[in-house]
Amino acid sequence: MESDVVRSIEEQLSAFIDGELPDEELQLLVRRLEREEAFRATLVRYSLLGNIMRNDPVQASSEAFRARVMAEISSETEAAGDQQLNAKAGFSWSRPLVSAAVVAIIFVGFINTESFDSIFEAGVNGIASTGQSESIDVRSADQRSARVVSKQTPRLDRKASINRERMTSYLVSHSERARPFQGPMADARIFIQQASFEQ
Amino acid sequence: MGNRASDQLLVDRVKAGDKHAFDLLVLKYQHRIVKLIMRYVRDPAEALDVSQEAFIKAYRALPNFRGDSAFYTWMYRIAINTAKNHLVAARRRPLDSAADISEPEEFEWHANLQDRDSPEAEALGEELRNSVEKTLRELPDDLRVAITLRELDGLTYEEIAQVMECPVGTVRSRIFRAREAMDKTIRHIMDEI
Repeated sequence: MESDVVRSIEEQLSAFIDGELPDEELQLLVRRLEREEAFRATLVRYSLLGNIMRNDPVQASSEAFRARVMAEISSETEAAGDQQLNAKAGFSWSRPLVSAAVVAIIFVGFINTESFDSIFEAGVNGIASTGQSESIDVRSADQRSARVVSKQTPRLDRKASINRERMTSYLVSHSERARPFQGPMADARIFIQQASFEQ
Repeated sequence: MGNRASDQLLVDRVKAGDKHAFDLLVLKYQHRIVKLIMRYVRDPAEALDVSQEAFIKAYRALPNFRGDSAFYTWMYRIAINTAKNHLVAARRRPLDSAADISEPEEFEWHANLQDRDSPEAEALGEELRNSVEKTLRELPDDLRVAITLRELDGLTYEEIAQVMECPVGTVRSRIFRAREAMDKTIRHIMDEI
């Protein structure tokens, strides 16, 4: 770096120590100090000069002091950052829950307008073919079967066949997603299934 | 821009997540805070610990700093309270509390601080003072007066400009040149630490 530039920056450091640096210069200086260790050392020495002149206690280890304070702050900031990341991670797990609820609502709307009976049967078959689902909702399985039997014979046309596949894959994929989780996710899955069959 | 506005700018940056801005506030005020705390805590090593604690408390509390007072005034209060709390805690602490330093790096830090009180550290401080005083005496009058008005009398650049009947820019330049000259004499001493 050119010596004139260095001197100009050092003059800014001097003014900064005195709180006399204009705003626009301060912005640049802060960014430069982030990168240039030598200027930080200069700042420490300028600060020390004032102490020496005033006959204040000379704290020659000021760089070590500053480094220690900032290390402590950095470790706190990192810890806070981890907490934020964990919080974000928690939020990301709730996204499948929300999307599942949205899908369930759309699905319910769809049932009301399209191939009601076909979808019912497809849904039951899908559940029956998914071991994970059975283990969750065994209690109401008989009731559901009875309810389905009481329905009219479904029309197994092409459209119903497609709906069956969709319903099965939907339930399978949600069962797999929910498998590692207890509590809200499992509850959500049960809720989705019940919502489907209570129409 | 005065100290308050300059500090507020740094505070705003810290609030926006720029840790380096707080680093500058530490660099700027550490000597004053240590000096302040040493009025309460005589032991230099303890005073440094308490000062460090005060800065960390300030950093944690900074999001709540509204800027009603100057940063230093706010920091000053935190430092005083931290020092007082330290004294209260010290009265309750058993005398052999130094044995609580279990981490090696903690021990090294404290040992290093205690070194500052050693005859070698005192000699170092004396050497720094002598070098600065000698350089100050040898400075041209305009530089010596400018730096003295600033460091010893605490005048602002504007006030110094009025006293010395020169532009503020000239004051800034004179103060810098005085510091530059003194810095040359202490730099090699500091490098040996």
